[in-house]
Amino acid sequence: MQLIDKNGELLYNEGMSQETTRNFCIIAHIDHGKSTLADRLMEYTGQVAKRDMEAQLLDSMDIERERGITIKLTPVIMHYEKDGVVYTLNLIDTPGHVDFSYEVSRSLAACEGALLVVDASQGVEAQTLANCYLALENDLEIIPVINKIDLPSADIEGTKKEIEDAIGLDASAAPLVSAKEGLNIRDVLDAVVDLIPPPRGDETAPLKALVFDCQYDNYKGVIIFVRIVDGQVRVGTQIKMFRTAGKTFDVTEVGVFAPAMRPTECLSAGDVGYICASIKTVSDTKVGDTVTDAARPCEQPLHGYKEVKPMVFCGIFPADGSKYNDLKDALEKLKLNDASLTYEPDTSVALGFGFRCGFLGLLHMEIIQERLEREFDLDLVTTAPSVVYKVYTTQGEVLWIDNPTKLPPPTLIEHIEEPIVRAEVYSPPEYVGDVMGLCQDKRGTFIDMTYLDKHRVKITYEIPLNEIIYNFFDSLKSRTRGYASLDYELKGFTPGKLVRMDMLLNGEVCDALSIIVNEERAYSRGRQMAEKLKDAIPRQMFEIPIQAAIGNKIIARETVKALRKDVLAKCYGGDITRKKKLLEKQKEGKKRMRQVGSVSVPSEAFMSILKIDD
Amino acid sequence: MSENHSIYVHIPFCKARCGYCAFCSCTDMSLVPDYFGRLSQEMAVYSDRSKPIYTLYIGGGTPSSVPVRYIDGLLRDLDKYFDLSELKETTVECNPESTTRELLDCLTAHGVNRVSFGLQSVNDATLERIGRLHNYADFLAATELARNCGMDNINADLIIGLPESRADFRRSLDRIASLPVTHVSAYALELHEHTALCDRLAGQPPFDDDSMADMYDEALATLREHGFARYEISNFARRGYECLHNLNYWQEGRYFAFGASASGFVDDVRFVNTQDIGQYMSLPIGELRTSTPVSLHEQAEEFVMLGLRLESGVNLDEFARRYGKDLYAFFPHAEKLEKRGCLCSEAGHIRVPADKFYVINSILADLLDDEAD
Repeated sequence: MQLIDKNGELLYNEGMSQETTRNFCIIAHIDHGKSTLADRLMEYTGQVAKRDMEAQLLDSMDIERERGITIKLTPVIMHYEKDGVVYTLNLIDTPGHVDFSYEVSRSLAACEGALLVVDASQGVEAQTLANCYLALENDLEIIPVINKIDLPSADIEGTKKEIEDAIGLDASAAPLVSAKEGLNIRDVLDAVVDLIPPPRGDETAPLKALVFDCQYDNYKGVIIFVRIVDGQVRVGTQIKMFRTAGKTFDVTEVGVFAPAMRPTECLSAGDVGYICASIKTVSDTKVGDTVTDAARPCEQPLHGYKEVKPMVFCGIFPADGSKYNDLKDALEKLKLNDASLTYEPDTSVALGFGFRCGFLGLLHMEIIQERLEREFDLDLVTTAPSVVYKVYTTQGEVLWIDNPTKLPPPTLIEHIEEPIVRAEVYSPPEYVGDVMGLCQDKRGTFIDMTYLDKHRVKITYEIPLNEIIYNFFDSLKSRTRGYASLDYELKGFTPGKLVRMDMLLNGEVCDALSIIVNEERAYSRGRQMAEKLKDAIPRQMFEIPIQAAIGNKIIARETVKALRKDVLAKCYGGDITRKKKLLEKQKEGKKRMRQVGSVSVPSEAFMSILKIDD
Repeated sequence: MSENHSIYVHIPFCKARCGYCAFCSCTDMSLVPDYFGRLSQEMAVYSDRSKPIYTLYIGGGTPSSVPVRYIDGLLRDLDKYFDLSELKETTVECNPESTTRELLDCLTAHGVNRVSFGLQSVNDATLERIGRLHNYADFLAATELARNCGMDNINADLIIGLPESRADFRRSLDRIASLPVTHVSAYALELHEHTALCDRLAGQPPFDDDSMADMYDEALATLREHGFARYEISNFARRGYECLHNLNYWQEGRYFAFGASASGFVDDVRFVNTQDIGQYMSLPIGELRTSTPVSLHEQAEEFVMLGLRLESGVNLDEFARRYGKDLYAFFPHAEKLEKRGCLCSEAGHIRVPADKFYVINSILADLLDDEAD
């Protein structure tokens, strides 16, 4: 059958040959114009009428549009006619940020080719390289595309040379485009058709499909995004997943991304689309899993994705304790299409019940927090981010500790190792001194410095990860006026002089404020945290000492002076209702506070310590 | 027990609006006749001669700003519609510039035995700045006049934290403490939105809370030195001159109320009249009030909320008698607050210790918190 959309365009043609299908993604550094190019491709192929174009169409989340970044991969189907043949092009948009390389690897696994977009005025950046290597590892055909050729600062020849030198790709025939101006978009589409190989699945073989993403819909249940490798799936097919053996589901809908989900009759080998099968339990599906036909299963699952390990951890608590279950549901739903998010129940004396969550990096952490607050309308209190430490006890055990409150007492610790990353900072030469100063301040060890060209230097340091997650990126940006970029990868663990620093409020430890910190750093961190808390905790009936302590040793102290006046003086003509209202307001305010011993601490206080400048 | 019943009457008229005032007031004197006519109707509707009235308070606005005959008529009406045979205290608020011999004679003839002057500051420059029509000399003259008319129970209102120097405030304190007044009310300035003073100060109070607390402590010490004892957070009196009317408010007593914006508490119902003078004069009498029934539980909370403002605190036996439950059982947080030094009990009373008097709101918020922590 054929499916024609309302504009009379061919949307789906059953039995379409895989020969006319191309599955590809776009990889690029942030700001190099990936989402804009995707918009242009859709516009050109008539997938979206120009009048309906909303900038960065595939970045459907508010956060993505606001920050101008892509977080989630988003698939879309397009049709393009070349030499009288109508081709089906499946584009899977991918995120560019270092934290989201796992998302990239997921999209890569569903494609046969990738467009490598490089900004003609910026050249090849660290992240581009990293993703490029990922693509090469996946045996993808890579087509370099040089973007922003309209800019006066564009250096087309230099960029081509850089692509050839840094990545080893032939860039001589690379399409030269301006996604913003819609220039030479056809060249890109031609290259996709000509250079990217068609899928080579077996349509008659048992169904074998890769789950590359999931989404939860209140009506349809879990919607799984699939790349069909072999076989076919249609409404009524009974499917099962490899990892959740035993359960079968009846397919209720299959379809493609146009870019909104549009039902079709069938998906077959080579196709990218979605499946609904009344899957109500979030945990029944897993990104990276293989879907097959329950009646005629394939023998081996696809190899799926490498499990990603979270690097950054923090506690997330509902500001209103009664919202614990809402938070739990929200995390479960986010986890569905973000396999890299981990969480387990956590309790804090100060913050009550919540979760210890693991993230790939700081941006990932921020994004998750923001999505929880926006998409699930939750008010959160988060604790300071931590990395995972390797703790050797005197008993000869090795403990992995990502929560300062779980750190054993010093007497039981033989030594602690902390994660070290190899950080590569790309910067214009004039900021080299600032960058090196910062890396030095952050306990970095100099490894290498290379002049990539006249305008760019690559500075390599080994730096403890807990310094990176603590304000490194912001400091880097401010010291280099935003010019430097950072890429890092975990290198290993190395012994460090690490201690737990506690914050005491009126003499009582507030567990949610404890951090693990380098001993030499503790003094200044303690002082900064005490200052922040002093400003964030409102004056109360008693003087409140705020102390930073390592064990029993106080290393910093501030004082919140006692409140001296809160009285409402006049009682106009016996009107006490105003007093009562004021008191009610005060009581409401109190409910938003956390009790730490006798001290009321507002949620903002916990957050304030996350924003400490160096 | 049968509570005391007081009466409050609100006279919203003023010759000029003070810079800090957010209260129900009106400078259109052409409304005076109709307003007093309305007051008379309202009192007639709620007339109740079954209970002897304990105290009477005519406040404003500025009651002294209207022609004396209206005050005379009002006092006659009150006598007609209520049983004033056992009145212990009658107060009329006056401004120094409008206090005349004629008015004082009228008041004494009706048995008014207390007059309350809005002095606010002894510094003429400050008075001008906040839009008062009198100067310090006017106040001295008015006080002298009142005493000559046999009115020896005199209150002076003082505002803490006006836009003036600490030395200016100190001067007000020293002067007022040595004057022949019996009572001083010292209120902290509250900046209300949409007032001239608030606009002029761009919403910024002249003093921070610490300075306000310092000035309050200064007032307490100076007044005490001159024989004025604090009996309520903002009220200081020579022995025997405590304001009975206000005490009745603090002790959860009952009171009738008449006039625009006046609020009363009768038969377990708190009510407040419309603030809008136009509405007050045009709506049917039965539609002037917004009423809120107050449950016994809420009354117990109010009794403590108001009673803790008193130096003497809350009488524990009286609480148990009124509300049928021990105070500590009623307020589970009371004991914890005592342990922390936010409340103390002695001689059958529970009260706020002297050093915590000015942070009573925080204490009340903790005490009345219905959640355990």
